[in-house]
Amino acid sequence: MANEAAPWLTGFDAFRAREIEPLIGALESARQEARNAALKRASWLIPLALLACGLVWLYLPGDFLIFAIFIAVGGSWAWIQYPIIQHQKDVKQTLITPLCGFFGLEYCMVPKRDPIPELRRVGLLPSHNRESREDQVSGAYDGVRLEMTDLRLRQESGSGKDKREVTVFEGPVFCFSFPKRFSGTTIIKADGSLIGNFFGGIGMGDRERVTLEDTEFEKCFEVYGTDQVEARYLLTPGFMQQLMDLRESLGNRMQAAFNGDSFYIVANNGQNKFEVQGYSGQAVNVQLDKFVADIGILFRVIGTLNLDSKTRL
Amino acid sequence: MLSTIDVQLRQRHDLIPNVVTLAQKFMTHERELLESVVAARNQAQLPYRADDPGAVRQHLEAETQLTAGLGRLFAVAESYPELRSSDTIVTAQQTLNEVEGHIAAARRFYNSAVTELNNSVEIFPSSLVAGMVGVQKMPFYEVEDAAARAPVNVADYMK
Repeated sequence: MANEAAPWLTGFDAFRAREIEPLIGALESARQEARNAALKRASWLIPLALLACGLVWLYLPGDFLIFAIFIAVGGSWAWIQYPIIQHQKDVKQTLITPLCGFFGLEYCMVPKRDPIPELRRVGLLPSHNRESREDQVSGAYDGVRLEMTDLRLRQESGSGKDKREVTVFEGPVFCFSFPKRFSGTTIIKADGSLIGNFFGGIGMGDRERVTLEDTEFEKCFEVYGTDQVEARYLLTPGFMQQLMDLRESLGNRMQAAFNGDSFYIVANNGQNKFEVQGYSGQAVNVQLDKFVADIGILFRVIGTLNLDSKTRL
Repeated sequence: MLSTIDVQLRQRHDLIPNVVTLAQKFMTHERELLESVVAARNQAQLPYRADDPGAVRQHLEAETQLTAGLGRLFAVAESYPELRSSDTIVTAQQTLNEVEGHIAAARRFYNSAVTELNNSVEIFPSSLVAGMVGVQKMPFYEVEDAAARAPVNVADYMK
């Protein structure tokens, strides 16, 4: 798996066989136990819940009936699922921690640092009034600090009975800190068609539209910057290609920004980057392969930015 | 737009005296090369009219010559170990890389503005207005030049 183009994978195959495969094997028996525990709970809870619903149906008034059934079904479902959810958390903690360790990164289920304020400052996050964050990977590669966090942002809309909460952002956010500082701000927004780009440009303040020569890149992104030259200094042809590759992996709604000594990427793709859907050994392996591939893309981004800062080719 | 690129180019000009002064001490057989770099710098520093496409073309060509000359100078400096290991030349090369990055970015900005201007000058109806007020097409700032791409005779540097 290791080659000159991906030096971070040197020794990875051996590490995976030695450290990760036995863990997947051990987790497989834990998975069976979790599944059996969930089935055992379901075997007596479902009849009990049905009985309770029947009693409620007979003896309670209409308005309260729906509420009671909702509570009974929701509560039962959560209780049945609990061993499986707990197992999935264990899978994540058990596998991602050593995997990150191999790449010199640290994994925390509860984030140590909140990336939201700085991401809001550069305008990469939509307005929201509820936020939750989990699964943070942090560390350094090739002299660049790197941090990845899963975010979920929700916005309340409507009032009274129509009041509801809408998820406005769900996906991973990445923060990179460079030893070098830039004077301006460069924002790379997802292309939002003619009308979307027009309205997107209105809220940009002193940032001007930066038109780049790469037509494929221009189809995918709209770039705004406070300094036209600096935007082009940062967005070299090589780096634009890296962003296109990253978009392939993170989805069409990926956006990025340079500000001060930091580079940010956010991807509103509805995915939890670190969620290992641990319900079969094969699924876990597929998920881990994707995780390793994504780490590789991020390391390549750092490599390109570092190389660019040395050669500017 | 040209002033933006000139700011970056001036940084490159400012680097040259130090590099040439140091290089003269070691590269006694490269007098011709050093003189050509100094001449190219002097040519590139001459004042020009930013609204005259011919003058702008000449100015940018002089810069292209200077880029090629500097490239050759650093390539030849590789065969002088004492010069190559000098702190001044190492710092100058790093600074030059940085400056060249900014020049490349400014050049891309300039070329994109020239594309827009030239399209407006050529395409109706803006071409009518351009004709009336005397706006002309401007030259692109190209970096390719035959001298820079010519094959290097390694034997010359192995004597």
